[in-house]
Amino acid sequence: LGGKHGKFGPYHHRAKTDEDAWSIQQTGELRGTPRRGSGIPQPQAFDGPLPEGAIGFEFYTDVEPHGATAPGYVRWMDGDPGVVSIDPFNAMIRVKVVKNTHRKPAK
Amino acid sequence: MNAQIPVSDWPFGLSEDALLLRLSPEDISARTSAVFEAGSDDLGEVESAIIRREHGREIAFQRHKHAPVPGTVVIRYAGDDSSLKWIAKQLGLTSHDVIWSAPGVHLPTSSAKTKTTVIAGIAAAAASALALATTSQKRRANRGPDGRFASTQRSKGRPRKQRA
Repeated sequence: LGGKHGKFGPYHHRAKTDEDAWSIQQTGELRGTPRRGSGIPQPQAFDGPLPEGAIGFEFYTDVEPHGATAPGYVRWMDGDPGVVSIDPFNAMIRVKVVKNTHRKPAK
Repeated sequence: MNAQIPVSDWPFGLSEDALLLRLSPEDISARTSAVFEAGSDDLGEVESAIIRREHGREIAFQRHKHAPVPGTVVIRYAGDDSSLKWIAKQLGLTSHDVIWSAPGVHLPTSSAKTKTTVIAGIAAAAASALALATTSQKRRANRGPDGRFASTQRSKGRPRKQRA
């Protein structure tokens, strides 16, 4: 099974700011915009667990990733089941962050 | 003559992952004269290049610094086999160069021998390059009593054997 945290994963992200990473952990929302060449908003991540020693976060989700991506990449396209459309430029999936090595921002 | 397109002018529709190559940006630049630009996107630091074939359409390359499967993604317009064949020829792709190809992608072959080696190479390289995904893949494949993911994945054409 995908585990108690979600049906799909683990995935990881290494490009968020400390604030964004902790916000994603707190809200459980991973947002994305259209990638270059595409008009479809799409949260993206890398496949697999967060590498040892890397700054980033690791997560699971119940939303099935889009199939047509190169190995190592995962994307959730606006319009696919479970992907929440926020506006024409933003879409979101619900995630459960299980590891976060970002520095916790001071309150 | 190939024309270089600035990444800032990335053409709309040029967004379909077609190949993952073992070649570095330096390798690709040497073979095609494509000039890679450093930048960043939702996934972090990335090197990108776009070239336009003479009398043809554009094709793009992207390599993310932190991608778990090291390689350069070749991006085409949806279903643009012609440009893909062209760039494969420009790059002089061998079976060793190709880590993964999207379902339905058929690389150009000049002989039966080449075709055989390319296909064999894709299968062998994909199996080793995707080792990192084994854990999550196993979890996905085994999840749930209804088996929905497995059947969906097959129907979308994501080759399970390449990721197993």
